[in-house]
Amino acid sequence: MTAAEGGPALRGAAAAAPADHGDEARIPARSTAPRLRTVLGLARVEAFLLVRSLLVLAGLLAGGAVVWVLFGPTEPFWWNAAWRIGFGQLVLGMAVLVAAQLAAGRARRDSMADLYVSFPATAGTRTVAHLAGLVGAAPASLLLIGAAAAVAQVRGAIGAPGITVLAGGVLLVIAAGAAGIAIGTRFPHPLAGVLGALVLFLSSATSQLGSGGGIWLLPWEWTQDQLGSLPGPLAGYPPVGAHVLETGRHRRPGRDGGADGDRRPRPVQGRAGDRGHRGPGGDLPRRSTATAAHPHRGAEPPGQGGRRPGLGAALHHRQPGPVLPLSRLRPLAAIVGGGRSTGCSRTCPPGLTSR
Amino acid sequence: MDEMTVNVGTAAVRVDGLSRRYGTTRALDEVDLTLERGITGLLGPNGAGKTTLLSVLATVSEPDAGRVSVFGLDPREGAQRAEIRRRLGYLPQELGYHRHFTVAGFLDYVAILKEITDRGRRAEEVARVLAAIGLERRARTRIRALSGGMRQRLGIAQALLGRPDLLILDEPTAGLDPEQRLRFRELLSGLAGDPVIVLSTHQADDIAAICPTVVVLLQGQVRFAGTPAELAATAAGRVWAADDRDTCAHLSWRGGDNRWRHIGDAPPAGAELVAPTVEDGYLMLSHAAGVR
Repeated sequence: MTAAEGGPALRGAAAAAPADHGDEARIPARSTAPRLRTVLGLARVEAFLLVRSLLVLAGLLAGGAVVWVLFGPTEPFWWNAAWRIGFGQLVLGMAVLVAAQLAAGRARRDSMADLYVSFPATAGTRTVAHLAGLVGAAPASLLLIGAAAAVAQVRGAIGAPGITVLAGGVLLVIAAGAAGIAIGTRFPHPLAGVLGALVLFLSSATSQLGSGGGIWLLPWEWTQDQLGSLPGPLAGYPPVGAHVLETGRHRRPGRDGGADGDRRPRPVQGRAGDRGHRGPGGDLPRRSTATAAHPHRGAEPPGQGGRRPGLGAALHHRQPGPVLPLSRLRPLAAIVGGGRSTGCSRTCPPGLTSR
Repeated sequence: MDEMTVNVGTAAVRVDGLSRRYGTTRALDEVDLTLERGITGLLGPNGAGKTTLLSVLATVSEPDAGRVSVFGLDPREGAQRAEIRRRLGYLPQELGYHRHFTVAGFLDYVAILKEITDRGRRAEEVARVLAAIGLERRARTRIRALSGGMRQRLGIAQALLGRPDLLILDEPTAGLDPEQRLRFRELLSGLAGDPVIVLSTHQADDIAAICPTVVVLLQGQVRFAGTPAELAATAAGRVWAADDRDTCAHLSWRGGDNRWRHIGDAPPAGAELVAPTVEDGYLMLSHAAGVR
């Protein structure tokens, strides 16, 4: 072996060099890419892998199925629909958690840790890239929200969708992915991701107690003020109490539909087939069977006829005031009256009745 | 780092008093070594410390004692270590692969990790190394569908990304068929820019064919450093060929010509002296060091 004729020399701000090693040719240092560009490059790949991940696809399908099952035949109130969409997002988030854990632990699991260490991109850079790559899970989350929201709207959901609540679902999915990355960097075994997903599920399952670890991930499950998420302000709500008493009173036998206690709906007047009832205020939602007889429908301002039920109508009913919005009356009446005509004792305008 | 200029002269890599332990096992024992531009072959039996030495040179692991200087850069300093890694190509001995990646996708990913962030340049680099290892037609194939030899070539390809100044290959020819080994030799010999290449292998004929310099590492210590011819010369006058086995010889094995080849201090009866090879020299050193 040839002895070193002279050690290599280094000049520049970043390093000190032995002065006696200057007999060799000098070459410039390799140009360094900004760390951000490396992160973005890696994040693009990771996002693409996440978008194409079979796990995420399976999570999307499972989440959609969960939302579909939870929607079921029940009356779709938006505050309730949002909760159900959130549960679908939880399922998707579990899949994203596992996928992200697999991605973050890929290097160690595939026996490439030594090789990765030899790259100029550090472990921190890779972790940041993995986190940035979680945007690849957003399309699946948004798709789930969009599809579920469309179904809710088509069904004539009552109330207004809470954009922040729905956006919370996207955040849940992203946060679950971040948790997966945190797990994957420490525990590359695939089972660690599955366990993490299980923990996420269990923590959300106990969040109704207010002590679940994942409650902060599931803002819509904070049920202490669930009525507060009903459309419209709480101000002006007192008529509801009266309404409940009223409808409850009319549920007693002999007071609703005849002396024989027959609770079948009264004959329909001015029925507009399946398209709902047309009253002075405009079209009624198709499923507004329980509240169609309520006189307060007439409080809808003129000029709103033809407005589609659902989001628009719900937004309309968010007007504060002493009059109980239709969108509130209906669920309450549905709850108390079991979704059937309750026969409010107040005088109904002509043409308003129930199916 | 743009202001940094490094010397990459004749002594590109220097190792002084390098020691590394794994528990009670001494993997490297005060190794002194100087590597020049060109290909250096690292020979040694299993457990001799070759992989440990290469991982230290690749800045993957840190020594317990001693100093390493790569192009005048100290890997103990963060910025200088990053600069070393920017000019490094490394093929570990046991390399797994992301099996669901495509060949081109994997190389593209590694290129980003090597801070080749410009898409156009990255695509050129990927195409170049794929052509170099003869996998250009497999660019779209998933890694799990590749044979073991193809994966090994893919590992070599990722090491070649970015035209590294220091190429560290730990048993790169393992799993390659004879034709691919020849192609690999040609590839290394024709690398532009005259990088520093350190090649660990058990194939003495690979060393003899392409390495101007060979280092024999035995029991964590450098026992020989020189040319292949010098290594072969260490066994000069001690290698004989005979029709029968000599039980007194240090080493005996049957060759391809169905004759026994002996390494020993005295010739067996009826034996003829033959010219030693690199393998003979290596075996002679191993025997002298008491390696079994």
